[in-house]
Amino acid sequence: MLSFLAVSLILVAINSIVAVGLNIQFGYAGMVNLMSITCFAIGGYTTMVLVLPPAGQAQDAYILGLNWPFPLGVLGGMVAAGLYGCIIGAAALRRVRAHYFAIVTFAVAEMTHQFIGNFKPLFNGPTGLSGLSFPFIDVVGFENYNYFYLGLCAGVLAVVCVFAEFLRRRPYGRVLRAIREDQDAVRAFGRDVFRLQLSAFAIGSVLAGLGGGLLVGFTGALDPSGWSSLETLALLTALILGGAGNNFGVLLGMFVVGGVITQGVTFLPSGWIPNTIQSPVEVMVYGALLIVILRFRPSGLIPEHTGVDRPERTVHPVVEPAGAEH
Amino acid sequence: MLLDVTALSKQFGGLHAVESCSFGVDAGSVVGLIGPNGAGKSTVLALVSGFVVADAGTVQFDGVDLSRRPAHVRARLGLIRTFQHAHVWERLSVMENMLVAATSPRRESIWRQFTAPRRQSAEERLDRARAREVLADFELLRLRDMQAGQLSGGQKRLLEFARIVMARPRLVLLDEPSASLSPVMSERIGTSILHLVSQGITVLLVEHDLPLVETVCSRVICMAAGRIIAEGTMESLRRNDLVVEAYLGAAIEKRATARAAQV
Repeated sequence: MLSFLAVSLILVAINSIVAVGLNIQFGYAGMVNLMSITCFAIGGYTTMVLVLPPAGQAQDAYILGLNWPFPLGVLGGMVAAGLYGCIIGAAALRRVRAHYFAIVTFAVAEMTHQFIGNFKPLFNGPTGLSGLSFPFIDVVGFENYNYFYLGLCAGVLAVVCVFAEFLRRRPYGRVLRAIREDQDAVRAFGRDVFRLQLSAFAIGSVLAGLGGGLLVGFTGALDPSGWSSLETLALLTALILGGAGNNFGVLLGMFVVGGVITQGVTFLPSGWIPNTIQSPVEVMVYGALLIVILRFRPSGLIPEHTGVDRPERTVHPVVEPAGAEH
Repeated sequence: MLLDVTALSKQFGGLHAVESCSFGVDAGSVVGLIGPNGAGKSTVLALVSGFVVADAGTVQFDGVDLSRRPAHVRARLGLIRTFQHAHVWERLSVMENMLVAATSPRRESIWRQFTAPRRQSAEERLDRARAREVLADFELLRLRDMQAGQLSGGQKRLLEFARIVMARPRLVLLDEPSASLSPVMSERIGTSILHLVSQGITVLLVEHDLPLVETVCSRVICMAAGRIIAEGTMESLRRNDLVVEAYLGAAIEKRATARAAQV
């Protein structure tokens, strides 16, 4: 039981890393990105082909196969995901805005899914990749491996959260939020909006790739059914439920969506829902939850807060104008 | 001459929105740009600020040819525009709006966030102190923690002016700052424009509120159907038959009917 909990939490932590990345793109900068799961997958696949030995068996086919150590593989996955995000972002952000950007990313996500899922020489097509051994297993041993990996993912998530929260509080995060509100005005104040958006898009893509790398380290395998656009729905639900723009909200949302709902559905008494529609039920719950949240609490469970100005006594005290009572 | 526009032209489809417009703006002055709806005034602002790319003509700003420069580069050189509707960053606080306006793009690079945090916060503290002073000038100080989207229409306009003061441009292009505001508020806009001038900012003002134009502008340009038809003091434009026929006649009539409707 405890081990099962650890497995659930590992998945929540990994998805949270991706969600925090999406939060930088969507919550901070206002870009509706429907391809973060694609960058996640590219990170995962790339990690695998870097860490796996060269494709040997006749029915298997994939590029590279470099036998790299796992951490380097994850790093490579992050780079690949970031590059892919940059290419798509650079092409799309120049020309389209808002809804059209969302449509472009959705189209790219589907195209990539179809291509990787059917083009065998790249990542073994529909069968996907498998056979990655657990990283650091010879050091840690089988006994407590799940706890070790949970610790690893939680640690990485903590670093990612601190990084994202730090950016949010800095001028960089502030100007991204301004772009989300009104990008013309940001341009009018001398900012290269395209570059700022692209940088945020790249950071989010890299974090998605990091999530993918950590996932394949744990599952040892990745195939096209593992990253359909439904996963994007789960991510967006988590973001909107928790409070887009607020990293703590995102963590809470991911915990509810990825932990409570995904696992909760599997605990429903077997008579209630036939096993065959278990995964549709999960998606239906996401949809219902989205509607309820957007109707009753559109800014999420923990809304984004704007910076409060605390005047320091030492710096030029400004006298409030007369008659300015609250 | 701070701004020197020569033979600026722009077509949208078959429509000549702006046709071979030439004018100049002297440093330290307030120049008005008036004309009937659809005359091309806002297009001129968009062309000068680089938000729309001109088909032909040049825009010289302090001797630098900006014609091929994108909008954000023009803004960095000190040429800032506003929009017909107040464009505040709604879900940022009033103070954050001020800080975004004051921050230089260099300070927003990702590397800077990590490499020079000390210097960053020192600069940030200076900006905050200055923002409080400017907000006090615009009677917005006690609203500084409010989300800008919660301000009234007039307060949003004042926040726009306050942001401009923070950004310290050399020239600001104002697009109908008094649109949809009460007469009292529009007077406040007038003093705000003069406040900008007192800060050393040159103003090019597109406006339909003629009394406001008359109070603040030393020189007025009148456009109709994409062309400049007259230029001079407001007083001289009133006596210009072309201007009266194209715009003032209609404006006076419109005000008369509005007054009649009020009675």
